[in-house]
Amino acid sequence: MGTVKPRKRYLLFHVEAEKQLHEKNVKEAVFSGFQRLFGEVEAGRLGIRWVGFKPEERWGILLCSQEAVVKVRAALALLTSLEGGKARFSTVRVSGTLKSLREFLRERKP
Amino acid sequence: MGGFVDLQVAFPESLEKAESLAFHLRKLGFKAVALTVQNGGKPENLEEVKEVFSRHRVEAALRVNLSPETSGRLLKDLRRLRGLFEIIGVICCNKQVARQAAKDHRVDLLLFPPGKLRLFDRAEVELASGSEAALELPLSSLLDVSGRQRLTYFWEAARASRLALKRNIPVVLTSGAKDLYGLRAPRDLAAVGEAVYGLPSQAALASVSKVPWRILERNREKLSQDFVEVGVRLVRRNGDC
Repeated sequence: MGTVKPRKRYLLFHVEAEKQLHEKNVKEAVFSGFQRLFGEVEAGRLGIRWVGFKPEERWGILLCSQEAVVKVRAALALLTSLEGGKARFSTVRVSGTLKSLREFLRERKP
Repeated sequence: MGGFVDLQVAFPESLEKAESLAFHLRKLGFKAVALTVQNGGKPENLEEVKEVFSRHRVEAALRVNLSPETSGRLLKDLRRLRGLFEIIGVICCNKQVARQAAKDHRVDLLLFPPGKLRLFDRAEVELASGSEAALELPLSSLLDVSGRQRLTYFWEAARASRLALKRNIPVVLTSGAKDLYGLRAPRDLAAVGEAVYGLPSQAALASVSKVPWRILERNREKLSQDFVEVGVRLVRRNGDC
């Protein structure tokens, strides 16, 4: 008997920050935020993976299981600072495929 | 009306700040916002600020947060300010004020600073269920504390929201933002309500949409010139009959 593969979701988030951003620091802030809120064990169970971040446009994409979407959104909402300045993370879109998120981003460009 | 509402954002200090606040609120998906002043009177540039928000298609309402030290002071403030503000929130710093605020029909939202959420107990819930007051959980209260205080706030907020929902007292989630970095998307606020305070998913979404709209519309109706009392509205005036 086969096991059911957990459904995954891609989260597109946007960062509003006072300072200039670097992918490495954003990634570190996001993962330590998850760890702080849910603890190491629970954060590990969320199955979060970093897909990418564009510092110029301040868009980032995360991958997680469908059940973890609410928790990931909450953890991002609780982040308040980056690179020593104020910051705001907001989840813009949740999708099952990376393709549709990329299309969404293309459409938003002027 | 429908859509998302943030019932607590600090009143902008200037028109430029109002412009950027309105832009960000719209971008995050809000259709209405309650601009909040602390304890004071009506701001002078209110009409200009409302105009800025309406240009960005965000409805702006005016709210006051009262933080009285005694119930007598609270009653005085309510008498003075109820007719001027669309929303009134009371910051309950002690039991006396909390009890008075919970039973007063003129109070819309009950707020408890971190460390005081334990005042929202069964007796408080009993009083609030007989009035129209809702429990407000601003995200800023959570973000302003850290360490052990934050853990206590998680626990207390979860307990308070459980108690409130049990007695059908509405829960409202707000950002409590003082600048644009304090704002959060409505679904992100709902996610905090669900993941951190343990609200059911439907109730969490309602706490940033249906519930605040209901409060806003109820108060606007009460402040309109045609309002006589609950359920009674003036349809025509003398000359129109």
